[in-house]
Amino acid sequence: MRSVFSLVVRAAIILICASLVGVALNMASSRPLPWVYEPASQLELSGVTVPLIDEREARKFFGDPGTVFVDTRNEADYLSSHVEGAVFLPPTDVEEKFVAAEALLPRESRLILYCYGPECDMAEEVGRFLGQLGYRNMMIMSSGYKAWEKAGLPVARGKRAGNE
Amino acid sequence: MIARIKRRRGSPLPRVQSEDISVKYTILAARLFIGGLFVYASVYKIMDPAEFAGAIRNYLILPAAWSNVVALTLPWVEIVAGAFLVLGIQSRPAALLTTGMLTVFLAAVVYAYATGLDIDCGCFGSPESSGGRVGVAHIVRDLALVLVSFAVVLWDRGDFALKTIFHSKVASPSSP
Repeated sequence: MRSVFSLVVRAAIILICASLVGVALNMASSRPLPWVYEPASQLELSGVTVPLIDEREARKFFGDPGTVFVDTRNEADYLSSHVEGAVFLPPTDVEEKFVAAEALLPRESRLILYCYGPECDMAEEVGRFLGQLGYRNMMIMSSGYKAWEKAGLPVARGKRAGNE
Repeated sequence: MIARIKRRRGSPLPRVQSEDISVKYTILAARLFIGGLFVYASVYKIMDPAEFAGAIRNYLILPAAWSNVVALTLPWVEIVAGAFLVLGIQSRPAALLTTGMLTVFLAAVVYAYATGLDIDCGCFGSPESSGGRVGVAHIVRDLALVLVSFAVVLWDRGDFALKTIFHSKVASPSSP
């Protein structure tokens, strides 16, 4: 029992000392990482300021007739499930895909773009393209579809009418 | 027949010794393998903590706010524990740390598997990223690593440790 205690104490000392090395090196670094991570609040895409929001903020716009959700993930994932009412517009062959989606994306509407999760940049790529076309009111739900689904918010399957 | 029995009875020691040596070498192999793996895996995380922080956020297990602190400290625990195992410094406490970390990774992989999460890109089942998707093979591999690491905690007796190697070398010239 005593030897187990001694083992745990020694392991804890190694853990603390090694962690302190990481802490010290970050403090000494010329570009230290902030201790508490805060996600960026907005992006500049093609000259348009695009706020980054999470699924709770996005939910406030859900059901608003002036808002359209845009799913930028792969087609198979979109078909298997997406934010209810979302329009499918992936970054690959985006110009071609935009032709099919354009009727559902009025220029004056608020677009909420999303992809899989925070590390996915597909929504940014699509946002850059839409910014060039003159869309000015865009947001990116950076927490992504997985956060929307995890929160139990409304989802749908298959294709959306008029988006083929 | 009798001679054979006699011989066996007469020489039990070499058999025990050979078993002992095979255990020693097995534990040495386990130590070097787990230690080497931890050192190797921690280097890129130390080089780019911001990217590792992103990978942590991808799991959606820890609150995103903690991801930087974990990304800045955990790789150093990994590299120190790994190096200690390779060199034989404080092998059992180091192995306890690697076992603990591997258990946490195993839990994360099981969680990712249960939710169908792709740990490399955070994508759900996209065909382009199937290589990063968590499968049963990942879970079995991680479980095997936990067991190998735990074996060092249980059975390491300080053989082939830097200290004992050093002491024997220092002691030998002075011995009469």
